[in-house]
Amino acid sequence: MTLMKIELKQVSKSYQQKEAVKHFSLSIAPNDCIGLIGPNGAGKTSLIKMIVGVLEPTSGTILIDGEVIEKRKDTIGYLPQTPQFFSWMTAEETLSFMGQLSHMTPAELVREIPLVLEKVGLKGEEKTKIENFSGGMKQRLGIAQAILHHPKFLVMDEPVSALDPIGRREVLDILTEIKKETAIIFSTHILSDANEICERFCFMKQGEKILDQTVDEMLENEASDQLVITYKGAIDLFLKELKKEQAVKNIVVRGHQLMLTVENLEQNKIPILQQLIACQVDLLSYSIQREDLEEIFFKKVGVSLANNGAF
Amino acid sequence: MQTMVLFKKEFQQYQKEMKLIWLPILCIFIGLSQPIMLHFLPDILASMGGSEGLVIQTTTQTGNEVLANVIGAQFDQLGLIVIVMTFMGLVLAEKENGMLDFILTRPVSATSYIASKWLASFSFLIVSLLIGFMASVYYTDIYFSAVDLGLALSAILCYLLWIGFVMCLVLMCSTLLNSQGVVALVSLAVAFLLKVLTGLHLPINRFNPASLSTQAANKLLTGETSTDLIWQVMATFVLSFVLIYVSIKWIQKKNYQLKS
Repeated sequence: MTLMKIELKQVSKSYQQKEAVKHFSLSIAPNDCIGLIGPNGAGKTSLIKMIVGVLEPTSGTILIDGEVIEKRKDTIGYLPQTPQFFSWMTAEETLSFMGQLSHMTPAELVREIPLVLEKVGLKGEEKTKIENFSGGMKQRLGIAQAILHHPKFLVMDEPVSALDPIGRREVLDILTEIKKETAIIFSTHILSDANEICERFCFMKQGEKILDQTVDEMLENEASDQLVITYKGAIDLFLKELKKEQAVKNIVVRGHQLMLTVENLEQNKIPILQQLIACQVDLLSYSIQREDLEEIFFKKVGVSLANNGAF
Repeated sequence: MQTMVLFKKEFQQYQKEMKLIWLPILCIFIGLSQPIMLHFLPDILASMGGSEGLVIQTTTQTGNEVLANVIGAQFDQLGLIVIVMTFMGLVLAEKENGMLDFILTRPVSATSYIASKWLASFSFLIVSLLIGFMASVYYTDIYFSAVDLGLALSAILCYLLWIGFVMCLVLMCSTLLNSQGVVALVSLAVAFLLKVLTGLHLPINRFNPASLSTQAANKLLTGETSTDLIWQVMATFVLSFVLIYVSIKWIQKKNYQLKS
């Protein structure tokens, strides 16, 4: 098996005056499973569309195995955020149509369509018209058409964002199976979804790549200890005071828990706790914990008090 | 290969949307309206009553004259509107629902995509218009006088060349523009502007595709076409090619994206 790669070099995309993607470089190897994580408007969809060749970069190059995408489209399977199909087609007709466009022979289609429908849990729905499909079924059919021709890379734009919890679970389970044989790059703003199937994360903010590491590297390089305070009552005054503290680098509030990334934690934790008492916050407990991926994400994309917990 | 897959899909779509049924029926209706209306006009007026003292002088038209009117007054006016309305969403509908993205992430060239759209729509139109025209010929033959089939065929061929150009125009508008209403408006405005120019006896009409429709009517009326026909045919081919080329380039440059 050749080591085919997708290489993005300094890729940028502008829409009139807005730069959606800025000088983005990325290398995707055959066995990668990359989560492209960023808040809404970070440029994920533009990047995904450029990777699959439906958007032209304003500058930079995207090469698959050293060639332009147009020549290697057969190596890519694509699932858009909300896949739309011809509603008058059945599941089988849709897969046959998409397969033929990927140069599959009639014999291959006869062999592969039942297999792929079974893989995505749509066995028995071959003759069902898509107009009768639920959102989750459409998403699964979207995955089926994307993997039907055995692409080397499966590129998905927020594949589970629009699904209910059951649909989300089903699709994530399918993707866990698929990643054994296909490289996956998928965008999401839900970190826990990416965390379930990806070994590598690429954080995006305002069109820029701000971090690209494996989960292990990220936990080793980026995670630091944080002070976790459980409290009762109001903390507005305390938060105001905390913002003035130079040593406090990041603040996340989740329910009645406050997570603080603090410089020289050992040295600074006592003054912070003293401040907490001075602000008459009812302290229930405190502990020192290692940051998890979510906290690293919040820290990196600069999300703190204003919209914490939104991802 | 890819063009044929997409071509087949287009016809499946026409079938599911019942276009395969209603467009030929509509063409038959348009084709029949002239000979039937002319034939039964005196009876219709008489049955409406209140026409005492009204003298209607109708000249007896030959079959070829009636057919010339079918092309010039029916197919080239009401027919044009029907054609544009039927195909205004040709590419736009797939831009809007995201299927164009889906299709173009497969190893499908912009040329294959546009070619399949044009070939499918135009071949379907040829069949529909021929059915409508043949119905017209049949009834003209019954109610008026025998139609010269050779002249009728050359006339409809001229007209179909013009319609081929109109289809290229609709296809390009549907590719470039982002609203079905605007596609219809621009396509009809350009087509009718070209038709209006044919009545002004300007030198530019030597290269005006709409003149082919006039040539078709003249062929039926006089049995002859003007010497400009060859230039008009060539200009129609060149302009049609330009419209198709612009559509392909627009898709290749990925300018069709409605939003990011």
